[in-house]
Amino acid sequence: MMYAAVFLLAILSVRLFYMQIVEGSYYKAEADGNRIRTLPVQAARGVMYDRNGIMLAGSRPTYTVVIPVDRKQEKLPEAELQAVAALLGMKPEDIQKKQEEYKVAFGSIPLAHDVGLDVVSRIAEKKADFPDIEVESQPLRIYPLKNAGAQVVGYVGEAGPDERNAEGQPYTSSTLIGRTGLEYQYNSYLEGKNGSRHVEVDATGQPVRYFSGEPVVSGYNVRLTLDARLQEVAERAIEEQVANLRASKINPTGASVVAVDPNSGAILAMVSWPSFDPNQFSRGITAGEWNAILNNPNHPLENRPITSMYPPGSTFKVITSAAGLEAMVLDPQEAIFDSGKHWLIDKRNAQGEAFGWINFEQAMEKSDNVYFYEIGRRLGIDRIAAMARAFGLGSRTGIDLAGESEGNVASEEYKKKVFGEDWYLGETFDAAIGQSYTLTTPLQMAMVYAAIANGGFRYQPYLVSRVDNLDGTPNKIFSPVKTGTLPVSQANLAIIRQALRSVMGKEGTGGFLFEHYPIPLAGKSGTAETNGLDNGWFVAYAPFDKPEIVVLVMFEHSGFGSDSAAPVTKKILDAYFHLGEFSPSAQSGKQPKAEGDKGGQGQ
Amino acid sequence: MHFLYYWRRIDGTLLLTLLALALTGILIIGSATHMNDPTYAGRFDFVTRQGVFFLLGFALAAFFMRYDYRLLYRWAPALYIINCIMLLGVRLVGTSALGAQRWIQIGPITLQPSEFAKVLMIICLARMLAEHKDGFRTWRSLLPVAGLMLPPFILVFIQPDLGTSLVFAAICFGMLFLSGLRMKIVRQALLALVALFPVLWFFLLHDYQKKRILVLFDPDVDPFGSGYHVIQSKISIGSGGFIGQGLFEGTQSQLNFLPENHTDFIFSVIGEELGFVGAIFLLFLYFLLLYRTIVISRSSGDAFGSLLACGIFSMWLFQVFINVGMTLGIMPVTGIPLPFISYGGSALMVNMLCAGILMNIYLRRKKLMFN
Repeated sequence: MMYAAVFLLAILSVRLFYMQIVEGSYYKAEADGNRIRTLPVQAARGVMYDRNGIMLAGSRPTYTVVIPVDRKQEKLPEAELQAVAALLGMKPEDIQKKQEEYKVAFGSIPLAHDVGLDVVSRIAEKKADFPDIEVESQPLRIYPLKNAGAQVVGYVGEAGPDERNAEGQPYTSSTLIGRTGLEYQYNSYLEGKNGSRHVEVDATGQPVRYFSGEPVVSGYNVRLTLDARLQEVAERAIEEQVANLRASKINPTGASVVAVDPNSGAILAMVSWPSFDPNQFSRGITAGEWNAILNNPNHPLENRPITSMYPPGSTFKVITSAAGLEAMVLDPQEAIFDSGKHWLIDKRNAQGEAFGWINFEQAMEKSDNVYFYEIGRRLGIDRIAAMARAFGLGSRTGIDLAGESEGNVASEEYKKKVFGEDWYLGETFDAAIGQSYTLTTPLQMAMVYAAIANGGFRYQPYLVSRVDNLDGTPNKIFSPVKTGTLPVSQANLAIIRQALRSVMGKEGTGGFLFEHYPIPLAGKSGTAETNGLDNGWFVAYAPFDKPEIVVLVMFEHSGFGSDSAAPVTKKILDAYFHLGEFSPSAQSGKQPKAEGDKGGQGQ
Repeated sequence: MHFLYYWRRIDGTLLLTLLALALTGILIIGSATHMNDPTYAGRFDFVTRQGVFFLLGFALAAFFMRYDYRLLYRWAPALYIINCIMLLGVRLVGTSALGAQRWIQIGPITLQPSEFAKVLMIICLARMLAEHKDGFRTWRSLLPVAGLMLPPFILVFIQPDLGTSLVFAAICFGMLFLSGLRMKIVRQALLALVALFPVLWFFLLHDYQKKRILVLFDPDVDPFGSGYHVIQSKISIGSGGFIGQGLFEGTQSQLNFLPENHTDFIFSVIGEELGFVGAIFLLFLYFLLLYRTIVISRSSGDAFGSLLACGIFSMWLFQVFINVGMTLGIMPVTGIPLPFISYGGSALMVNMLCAGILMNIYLRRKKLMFN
């Protein structure tokens, strides 16, 4: 009997020794795994402010009801399923379906986003009824300006399993990362660092104690050069103009606005129409919304001012002029006879006019083609192309946004390379008036006029002026970057500017709108044909003597630039200089739309 | 005079051992039922009740010390009938819990007759075996034993309480062994058991009982059902390490991951909170208990006393091994409590009575002294 007792007790002792001493650490880890849950704590994404401190992108805390990662493989008990369904106003089948769908996905299963505090408190009060669901607090990205500047600001989406943060680590579930625009470009500053919180739970999942985990580091705030007010005005002006054009049976397929400070390259406004509401992406875009964006033939996601390329049309004439003046083949005093077509090749003015003897200023004013055909003939394509490149055409401006197009400069080599054909004089004529193979983005043309306006300095356009540390001190300041100077003398630039001034005068193509404009300004209209449809350009800068702003507006497929784009240009300038409907007297009593920080900033 | 006389002849080691066991039990029950947490309503309830049963059992055992244990020999037939009536009573008016019908409510007291049946069967079997002096060489000679054991065995088995019916078998085997059971019969019995296993498996065992056996080989076959207990128990014990998490500090037990932590799985709490040191010390206490029981069995002047002690020994050893083995994941989950430690009034009373019987045998170890 003694042996039996010793033998059996020895078995137990050996087993005890094995479990507690040999494998103790394994079981200790298991015990900790039982009681300790690590909850990811999302860093609040940095806020984007416009130049006046108006929030363009911020975060608002929201609550999401989830099935946490560690319990997502299990079926909810029937009673709990019914209770959860009733609480969230969902069908039990839908919850099961969601669970099924997310089973192999990454992170916890979100059942309902952005639930109210009533739901949150009911779950907290009756945790025993809902042992398998949890409430996660998540910052929701909000864009108070909605459509305005959506392509520039960008949008965010949840990180996928393969994406890595700045440190090369995978993201914890449902981290928001920038997908497009500045959200994408400055993601490493904006995203911050996710932390975690350890919570000790009992067997029913009820939290017992909290421990601090990895600290959360909020994202840095980013200050933009954009002016939210101007951006909204521009956006609205475009939309109104689209409505007007549609009323007269013109269907624009897209429009761009670029407003830039010529003295720095700071972008004040950048519009791409049609636009979209980036808020849809942050709160989880529905299939319907997504299809609406995807199936829109005009591609709302595209940021036209930097990605779309168009022939610059008559707005290019400043480059032909600069080349002509520098090559001394253009004498501003010389009059050239416009019979309605060039004497060598039958190429005509846009609307078939014939202006007779005209000098440089008149040619610019009326956007005469024959005059510039002749200048082009005298220059030859090489010198036109060289000047175009000197103005920055054919290469990216270097703006801090992804996806910028280079554009193209019409040249002999280009034609040979792409088409394997020789260059014809007629093509030089076309190139001189901004047709032919030359393609520019609206931003490139805006920067051309910025350089003319500021006295020949080429700046790199930029959208972010500063990144702030968490305490508000500057982390990084982006100064204007000068990328070059124009190979054009001050005297010649002055001649061009004077001509652009007269465009806005009584006889000029912009005169109908700007002749009596209270701020002296200069500019140019343009109409460029692509596939038989006219793209309307209008670019202006003001004040004439000390330019502060260049505004470029471009409408696709909308007839002449003076008709479609000029009124929008005027409205933006009105807003910038507080004129007309934007004058202080007209504004009193009207609250500007995007003033102040609506919806809180950060978290 | 009586008291001093008793006191001098008492088995001090046995007394100290069972006191240590019972007090450890009460302490660990306190830990498992959140005695130290003021937010728990009635946090002293379990400890108090176990303490009361301990004192009651102690008093009862001390009281019976006055009477010779050999009176039980005379009472055995009556006790047998009482036992069967009680077990039948469970069948008829018993209350269910955890899928089994094991308790009888008498006024404020809930009795678990199958616990009492253990000691009663020991007494009855001891009488039968004491009368049978020839040993057990043939199957035929075992028939009377079977006739005695089967009715209560079946009554317990159908409650269902597989654990207690196995305790009966263990008691029976131990006592038969002492009475000269031939090894040939043991071997044949084992063979028969193996052969009959499929029959047992498919016709006699409930699904949950089968699952418990399967879980033994792989707790993950049913991690949230039968396997849950085993998994959590192993985690508890393993995480205790060498010196344990400290009394009242075991997360598995305190956060209720460990189910039945004051009853069947109380050893897991000891393993978790007192570690290897505490668990081994507890096993050592059991060793002392069993060792003293053997000594008493040998010291008894008559076969009845030896058999009684042997039955008690078999019961305790079997229960300790099965219960601790279960918490360590090497024995199937059965509702067998850990003697003196697990919460439960009936079981504690029975164990105290058994200790009383042992003490009684030891007290009267030399016939001459009492004549």
